[in-house]
Amino acid sequence: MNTPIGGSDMRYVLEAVEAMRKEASTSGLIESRAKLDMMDSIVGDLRISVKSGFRPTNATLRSALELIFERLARQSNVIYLRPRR
Amino acid sequence: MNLYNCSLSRNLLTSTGRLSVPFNFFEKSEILSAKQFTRTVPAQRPLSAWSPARTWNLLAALGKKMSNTENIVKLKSRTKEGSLALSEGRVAKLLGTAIRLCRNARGLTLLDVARRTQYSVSHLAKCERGEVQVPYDTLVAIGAGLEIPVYLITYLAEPPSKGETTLERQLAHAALVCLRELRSSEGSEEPVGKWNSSSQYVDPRTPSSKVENRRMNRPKW
Repeated sequence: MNTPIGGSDMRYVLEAVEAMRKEASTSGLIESRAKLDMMDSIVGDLRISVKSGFRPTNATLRSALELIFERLARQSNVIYLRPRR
Repeated sequence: MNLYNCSLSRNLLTSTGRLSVPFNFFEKSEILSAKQFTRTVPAQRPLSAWSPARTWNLLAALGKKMSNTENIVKLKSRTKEGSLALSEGRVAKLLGTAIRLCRNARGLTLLDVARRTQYSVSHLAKCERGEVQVPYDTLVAIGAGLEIPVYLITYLAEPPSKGETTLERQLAHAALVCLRELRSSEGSEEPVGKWNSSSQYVDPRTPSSKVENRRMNRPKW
């Protein structure tokens, strides 16, 4: 039996990324088009995972994490360096 | 005011259901209360008026060691006056809780972190319990070991303030969820190779023995 993994917890992530996307579009901060598109694609992936109840891919989670870290770094005036892969 | 006598007689009545007191009980108790148990209610002092003597008295009442300064800090933080400012012990405890939260989110044990950071397990445990003050270099090393930015740890350690928007809290929680999910899937990567007809798993990354043999027995011309 397949157990839904990405259901309840992923909802928090989806809400957070959606709020971040909304803030990026409404605030006067200049965000690059590529970053906004990336946010949109992450939101789409997370929506699918929340609806279906399956876990999103690692790439989606990593991208969401990078975006969140960048946003929090901007809040605390710290430059966030992405880890080497 | 004879409070002792009143409460004792009431207890006797309620516990047994009927009055079963020894002969001349009230008479004796009256004599005792007059001599020893007569207490006056002390005038209540305001909570903000804090003095070291009051701390010692409270410590003595709680039966704790007087030389332990941490207890004073704890007691002081409970009062109206002390709760406004964060005491040293409370900051260390909040930071330790944040470190433990991040470590659990990463799914690492104390031993794993100790191997990554070159600090001993006992020292890291003390840091997490808030028994020692965590210096900045240690915090940076722990952050590097956990692969979590230091500002996220310090952010989680901060108590929520009034001016703070909920988005940052939301993002911090979401980051922890992502970290936990990524950690849980670290060992279960998607299979790269394929199952062949004779139900053997063939991984292209590791050269099979046949290929090795072919390479080794290559004719030299």
